[in-house]
Amino acid sequence: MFKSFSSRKIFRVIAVAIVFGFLIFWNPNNFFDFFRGIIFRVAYPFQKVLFISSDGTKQLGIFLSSIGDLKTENAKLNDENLRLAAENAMLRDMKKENDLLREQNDLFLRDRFEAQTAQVIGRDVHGVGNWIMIDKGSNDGIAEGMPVVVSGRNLVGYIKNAYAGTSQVMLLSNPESSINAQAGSNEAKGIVKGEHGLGLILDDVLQTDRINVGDEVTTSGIGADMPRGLLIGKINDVYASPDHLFQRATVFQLIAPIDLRFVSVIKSGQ
Amino acid sequence: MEKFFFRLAAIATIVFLQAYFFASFSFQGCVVSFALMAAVAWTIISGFEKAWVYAISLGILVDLLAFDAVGKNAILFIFAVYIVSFISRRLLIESQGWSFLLVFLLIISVTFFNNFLVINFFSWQGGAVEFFSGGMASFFKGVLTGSFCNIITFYFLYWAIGRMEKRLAFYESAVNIK
Repeated sequence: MFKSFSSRKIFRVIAVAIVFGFLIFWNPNNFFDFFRGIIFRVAYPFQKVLFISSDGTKQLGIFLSSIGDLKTENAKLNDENLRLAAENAMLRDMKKENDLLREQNDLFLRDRFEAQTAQVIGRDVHGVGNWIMIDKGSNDGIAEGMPVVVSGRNLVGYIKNAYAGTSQVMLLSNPESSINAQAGSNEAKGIVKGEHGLGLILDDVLQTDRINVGDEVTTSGIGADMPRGLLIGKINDVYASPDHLFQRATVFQLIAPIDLRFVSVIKSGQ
Repeated sequence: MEKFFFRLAAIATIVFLQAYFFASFSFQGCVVSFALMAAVAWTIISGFEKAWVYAISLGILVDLLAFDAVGKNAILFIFAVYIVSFISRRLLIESQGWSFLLVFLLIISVTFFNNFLVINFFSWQGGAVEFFSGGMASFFKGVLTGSFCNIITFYFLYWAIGRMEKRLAFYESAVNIK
């Protein structure tokens, strides 16, 4: 009787569900990381080619669908460019002055980061935007916890897993992500948490601290897991937490992590 | 032996396309379930007896590349393949006129079941699921948009895997004659 039952489809389904259910419950992450590392090594050349093709196809689609808006967008960007060029010139002067003053007062220069540039070669398979993969790994000096930035000091995430030649970057919008941050000129302290690829929340801000729409949110450097001063985003909306003990704010990132192609990993510095 | 490596290459190709190509394309928040549709197509073409191994292999590889808990997609795929195995190939593809509707209903069922299990896994792992306060509408919307994406890939994969299996069967019969 057992033989006839064991040859049935349902037996196989139940057996598979039990075995893999046990594996999920046991959840030996480190055990499967070894096999992941091997598969990533094998998949690396295909990964790069496929990802670049998909990105190219996507960009072509976006271009074709936005042809009508190009003229307006172009004019807007030209104006923005001029404004930013003027602002850039002013900031360059201020930076020179700042560096000089820091040297004279024996302080470290602000931009002393050792960074490794990497290309994005993979995205969250489920399309939720929780992580990306880059083409640098432990062989290039990448380690878990290192911050990942774009365009200088825009924080987009940190290294979650480093394999030999590739690394997984947990994006700030990942619900598991939690970064010590500060907002506004008063440096109101809080924690930036991810919301399933949809956006960021600045949480646990004291009611006595003042935060406003448009304030910049940066890393606070508390806990020494992230350097201080990396830009996370700007405040979009401020409201009370459900228990009314703290303030919360939605934070929008100036860079859309889903469109990233190149990033920098900060290996050391301040 | 050649057949084994051929099928292994096919499974690897399907999983790599799912993980590295289709991950960049999101339609209304849904990504094509390329590997799941391959498992479904394989079941219709080759039957449950052969397809369940391919489904588990696809599931494990997707789990490894997607940084999911290993086993999650394997369970999802084996249940989907079990459901599909009750529909015969003749009924599904060769019946005149109704075949497209049957295929569409099948894909909706599989997508619904897959999304439902994913939500349960997510909830079981500690995630917050607001199913009954507005979440149900977005769940069903996700099922419909997912089904729309999946039905196109299903037809492509049914054709591609069907051709591959025919070739392998022809090669096997040629070897036997020799």
